[in-house]
Amino acid sequence: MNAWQEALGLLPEPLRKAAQDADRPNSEEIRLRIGQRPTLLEGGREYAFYQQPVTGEQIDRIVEKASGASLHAVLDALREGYLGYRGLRLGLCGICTREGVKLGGFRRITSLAIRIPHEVRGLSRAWFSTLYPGGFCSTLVLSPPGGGKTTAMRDLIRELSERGYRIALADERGEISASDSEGARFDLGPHCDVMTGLPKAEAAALLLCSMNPEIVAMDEITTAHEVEMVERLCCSGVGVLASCHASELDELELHPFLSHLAADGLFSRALVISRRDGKRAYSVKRLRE
Amino acid sequence: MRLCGAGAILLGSLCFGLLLVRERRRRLDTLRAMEEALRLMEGELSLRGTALPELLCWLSGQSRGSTALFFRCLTASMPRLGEKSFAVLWEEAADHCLPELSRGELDELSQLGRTLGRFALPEQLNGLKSCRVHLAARLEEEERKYRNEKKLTLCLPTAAGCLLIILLL
Repeated sequence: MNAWQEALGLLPEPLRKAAQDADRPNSEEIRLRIGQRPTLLEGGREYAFYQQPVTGEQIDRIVEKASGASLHAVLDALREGYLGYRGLRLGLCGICTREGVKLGGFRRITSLAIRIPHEVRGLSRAWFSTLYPGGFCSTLVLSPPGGGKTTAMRDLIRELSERGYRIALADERGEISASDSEGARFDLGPHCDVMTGLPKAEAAALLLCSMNPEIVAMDEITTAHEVEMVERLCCSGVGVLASCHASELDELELHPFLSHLAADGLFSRALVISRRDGKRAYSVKRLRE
Repeated sequence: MRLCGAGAILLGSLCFGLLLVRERRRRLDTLRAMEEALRLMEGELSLRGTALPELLCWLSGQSRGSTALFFRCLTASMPRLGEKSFAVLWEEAADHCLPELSRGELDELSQLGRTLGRFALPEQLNGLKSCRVHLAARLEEEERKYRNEKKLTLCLPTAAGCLLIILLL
């Protein structure tokens, strides 16, 4: 899948041409804010690629295209603050309407972050043997937002799947697999089953019962409910591969729910992704033997 | 020679009458097919909340005549979303593929195009229902007119042809 081309295809004409001319196919995100110049995010920095500010109409067009002009069909995702489009994820921000204390929808979308997934095949080879010297053990992948967790998870899943592990992936927003009706657009190896569209804790519970996995993988553990599910999985005889937002293990320990993940011996290894001199660095930490 | 000319005039006026009847029948068929398609659309949206690209593709297989062409045309133009809004694509397809419908009926369809996919489902269903009811009323009226005026539409040009023949002879 060429995510960069898919992302360009979403943009209205003047922006598409300008982004193409900017020639930054390794960009991680295209960011659009009403009244501001559009930018490409690369290596942690934003570069403007068009001199004119983004208009509300341009944002509406992108949202209409991404939703297939069917907001009713993407309402659940919209209420989670994102839209999925052919393996891309569009983060939404703007003037909201409420349903109780939750997001009901958007009266006006004022900012868009089009995240462009990257498939880096072989990324995990450099640290795979350090991470698993004697076979898979439950692993937590840590990095700040946009740090490369999903890309690392994707390659790790593919590598494990190619080595014969039966993996069940709870991919709520379809970010790891870029799944559509024709299956996963990213290569996740021959032994990976993907469930998308369902909250990951619920999906993991179903996968555990229905797909007889050896490893359950979940991206971006954030809520207490998801932590609870990870705890349940770890006590169910399956390995768990999960990721969450944190720069370091010390930072994780301060988190109200996530601190259990590292402290309670649920995971054996942690893969910490940090950025040094604009490049990603991967370090393996042992949490228990 | 005169007889041949008279025969040609008679045949021409008869064909003209048949053409008028056929045009009215095509208009009736289009109205009927569109009303049915909107009913199917209402059902699909209320039961399954199907996304429009999928729904339009399905409808292009379910409908017939100009209505099927309209949905096929719209399905083919969906990749242009982003360049043009759905409402504009809908309106363009209607103008291009439904020449049998009157301006008022096309306006009613355009209004529906501005509602579909843009609002919550209940509003979309209301829009669909309102358009369908409008088209159903027009269909009923047209059917009544067709029944009453079918013979007249066929006979009037023929009678005019006969009159012309008498005048010329």
